[in-house]
Amino acid sequence: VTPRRVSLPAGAAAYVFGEATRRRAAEEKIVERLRAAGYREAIVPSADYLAPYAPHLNAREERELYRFVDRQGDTLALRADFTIALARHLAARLTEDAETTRVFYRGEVLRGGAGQGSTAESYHIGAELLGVTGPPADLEIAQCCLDVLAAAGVERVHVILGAVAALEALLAPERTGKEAGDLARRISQRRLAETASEAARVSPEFARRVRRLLEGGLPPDDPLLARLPAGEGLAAVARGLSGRPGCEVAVDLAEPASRSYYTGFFFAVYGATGGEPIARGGRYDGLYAAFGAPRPAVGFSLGLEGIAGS
Amino acid sequence: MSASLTFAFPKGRIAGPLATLLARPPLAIAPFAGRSLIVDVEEKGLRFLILKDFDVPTYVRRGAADLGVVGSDVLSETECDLPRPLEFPFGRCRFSLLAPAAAPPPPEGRALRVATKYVRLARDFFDRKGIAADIVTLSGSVELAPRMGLADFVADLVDTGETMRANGLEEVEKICDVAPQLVVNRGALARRRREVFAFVERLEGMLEVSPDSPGGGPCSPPSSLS
Repeated sequence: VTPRRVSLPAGAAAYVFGEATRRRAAEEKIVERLRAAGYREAIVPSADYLAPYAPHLNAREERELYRFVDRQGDTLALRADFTIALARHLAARLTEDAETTRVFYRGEVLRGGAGQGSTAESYHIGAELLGVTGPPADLEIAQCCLDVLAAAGVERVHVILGAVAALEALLAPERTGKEAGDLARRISQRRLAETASEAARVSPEFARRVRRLLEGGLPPDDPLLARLPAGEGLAAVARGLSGRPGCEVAVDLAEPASRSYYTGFFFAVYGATGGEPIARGGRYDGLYAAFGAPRPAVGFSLGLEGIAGS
Repeated sequence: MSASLTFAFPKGRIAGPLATLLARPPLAIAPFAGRSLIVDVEEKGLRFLILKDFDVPTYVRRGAADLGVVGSDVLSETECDLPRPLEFPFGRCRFSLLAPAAAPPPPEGRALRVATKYVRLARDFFDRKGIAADIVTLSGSVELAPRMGLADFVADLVDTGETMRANGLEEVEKICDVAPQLVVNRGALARRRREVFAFVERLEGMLEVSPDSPGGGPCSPPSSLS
């Protein structure tokens, strides 16, 4: 008799009884909050052709995909991210004169390369605000993210705000082009001694600037932000969030963007424990244009497993 | 008083010099004794987890440890993108391609067989060179593989070269330099930014202690760990 196999593939998870009830309860509270805020649900397929997604993925994101060839010989991929899927399927439905669109989604995403305590299968819930640009929209989506986390019982959060290409902008004029890119990468990796000695060779002021960028934790009124085109917007979002109870906000321009399609403001939310963000979000103003419906867009998503036990 | 910072301490080849560094003032932490894998040093606000080197990135990335020390070889092999504020001057070595001394070239017409425990690093190296390689994954004693007919080459760390020579191997090419790094969890940075950077600065200062100071000088293994 073949022994019954009870183990799961690396990173897969099953939930029953109380745990399943807790997860569904958290999901219902989140969805209720999103609906109350005017977000309407969209459902996208769990498998789709790979080709439309490939240009929007970096090498690592592409490697994480679960892909297969269907009976017609087309390469398909299991859903690893809702944002691109939503842009692909929603773009065709957006009319030219459509104003602001608020949409939310929920469902499983699958990413390979997990294991080591990470889940390959994750239940994501997220929301997107389309057709609006600027700090008020960024603040709305960040507030919405914290509202749904609070609805699910996450009371204490640390929010890190960042912006794409901010480091390169703040390293000018002393460093530009490839030099700025290389130094920005090392600052992003928080290479303290290495960047300090390089910056000290330029000037004491540059060394101080690099050090503050490297340590992060800038207050909304930090003069560095005033030098950044996106700085006033970041400061406005930081000020807008900082009054929330249980919420600590910091601007950290050394934080790398978590998705390659982000084009500006982005954020990560950490809970009271744990090493990885429980929610992430950001602005991706180029994504809908790639699917034929140019629209500014900002959104967030959270993994239910990151908060159901919080 | 805030909770201790949790430090992932690798028990591999950099354990000795790292213990020597931690023994310097102002931390002045005595080398760990006993078999416990958790060591609390409450008066310094630190908790140490004694881990295998390859497990350090997992503990730090997942937030089970706030920070830790691990070789750049392990970080590259595990594609770990954790912040790494400090590189240590001790425990440096190189990751190299090794071959049996004076061995005939491997037969043409088949992929080179390369024994290693660093599958990703070895594969990337041969991909960059455009050379087909059959990677034989081993978890240790890789120097034996050519002698026993398992592989044509070995890709492994070389420090003094003593083990390499003792097993009849010679260095064909350096693949990359390797140095221990301090890695930090992003959640710890978000929640305890000041404490984390204060600790990093303290370690940095301890690295700069002059050899004439008490506990100064090169970080060699204390007898309890060598």
